[in-house]
Amino acid sequence: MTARPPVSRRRFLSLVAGASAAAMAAPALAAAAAPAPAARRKPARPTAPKHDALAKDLAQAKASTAATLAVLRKHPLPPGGDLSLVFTPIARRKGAR
Amino acid sequence: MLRPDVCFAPISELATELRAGRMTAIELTDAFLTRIEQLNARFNAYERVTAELAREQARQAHAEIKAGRYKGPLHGVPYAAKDLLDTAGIPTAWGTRFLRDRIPSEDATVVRRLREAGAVLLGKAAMVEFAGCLGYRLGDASASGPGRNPWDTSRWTGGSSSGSGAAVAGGLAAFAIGTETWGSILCPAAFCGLTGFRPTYGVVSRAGGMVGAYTFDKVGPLARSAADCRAVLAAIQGPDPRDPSLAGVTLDLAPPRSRPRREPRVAVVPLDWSTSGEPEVRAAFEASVVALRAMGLTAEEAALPEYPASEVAGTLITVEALATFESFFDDGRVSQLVDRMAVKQRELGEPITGADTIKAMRMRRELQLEVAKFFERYDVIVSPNFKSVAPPLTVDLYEALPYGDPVGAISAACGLPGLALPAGFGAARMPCGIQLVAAPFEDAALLALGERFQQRTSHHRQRPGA
Repeated sequence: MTARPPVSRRRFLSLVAGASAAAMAAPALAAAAAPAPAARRKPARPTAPKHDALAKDLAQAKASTAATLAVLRKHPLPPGGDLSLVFTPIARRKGAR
Repeated sequence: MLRPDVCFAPISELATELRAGRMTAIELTDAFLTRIEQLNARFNAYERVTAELAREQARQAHAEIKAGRYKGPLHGVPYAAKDLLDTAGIPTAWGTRFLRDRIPSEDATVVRRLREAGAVLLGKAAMVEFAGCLGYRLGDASASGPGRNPWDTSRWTGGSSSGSGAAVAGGLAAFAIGTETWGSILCPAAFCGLTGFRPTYGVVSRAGGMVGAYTFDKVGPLARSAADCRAVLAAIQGPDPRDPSLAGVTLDLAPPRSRPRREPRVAVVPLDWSTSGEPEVRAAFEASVVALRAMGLTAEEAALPEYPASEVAGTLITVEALATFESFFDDGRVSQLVDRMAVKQRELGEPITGADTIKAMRMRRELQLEVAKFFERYDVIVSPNFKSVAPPLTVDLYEALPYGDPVGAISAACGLPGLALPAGFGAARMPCGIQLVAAPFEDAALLALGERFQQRTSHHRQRPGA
């Protein structure tokens, strides 16, 4: 087992989000992309700061995904298979030829 | 004339009145429909109100009860269903604008079972788009607009079952059905001062429901008490040939008649309150632990198994959600979601390899075994549901709630049942709550414990504006 990594905000996001790629991707881009309702009523015109924020958030999200994958990839597991992966054949329906 | 607070009465009281004929299902349904008409625009609780159907179902329930064909505690009781559960002939849009014309031909199993139990469908509860499975950072990520908390409409309801929370808290439904991939029942229950129940994965059929992450999604009730949750769970649980993931079990959910032979051993998860969390919420949580001890339970601090549960669950949910919503990425409709970050999720998920996914599945099994060992020593985990109250709608959720969710992580990864209970009030007199979590298929014991807790406390009887 590995030690638990530091708690990050991605855990909360995944909680309220029901989780997703955003679950892994720390502070993602939504704040910049989805402004508050009052702001959204105004005509949307991209501005440089907004794009900067978007790019910054995207970079953070990618870094967070990489960190998550690093934790997974470093985690030791015994070689060989186990019963984690379940496949169940579907039997022929009764009466089917 | 019905009493003014009838729309805040628990199911057990409504059932008694309906069965005794002191109130009819038609009168009760009309009372809820009137409140919906007056208040839905304030709360954004419903994406769609099915008034005509509700009146028809209420008339049928009334006729059946009058004829002595009483079906049980939900007969004639009005409810809301999250708008990702299919309803025959009624649009089911999964919280999006672009699926508003999606009209299923068949009811979801849960909706069918509730109809068969005599419950009255008031409408489709608003929700975060795609149940938040492609992420969101503001509470307005929904075709229905922001989920407004009936305790303070400038604050969020929680999500993704936002409308389910608002409907029950606002007295716009007697109970509601929500779903949870990771936290989406417990979160609105906490923020709206409700009792919410997340069943063990595989106890309630998801057939006819939107798939977010197939090996994580659960369906469960938001209601006014643990007893109400038990009544709803009893109606919706059980095997269903339409959902091959079900565990094939039917839980014994008869009302508990006596105290358990052995008092549950409670693990209190130690939390760091020094950098996050509100003192009022901490005090409410600690008072709840005192209440549990006063019930005769052994409650001691116990650390959860050390395991990267968040990474395991997050990776698998990501991959499952990307596969689930693939067609919306392909045809570009994902760009129409309110949260425009959603369109980036496929790009963000690209580094996850097939080997990563299989490894996460193997790790999930290892974690399950660790958690099973934990539950040999303890029967229940107790933790604050959230360390702070519902944030204002305008605040970025990342900034408003900057803390982790270790109990939620193992719960999601291991399919554990969870019960959200109101525990008092935090800042700005907003509700706060605790969560109780148990081993898989210990749902009945968890609900029984919740009922005992609520016999000793009155937090669950509080309501907005009272």
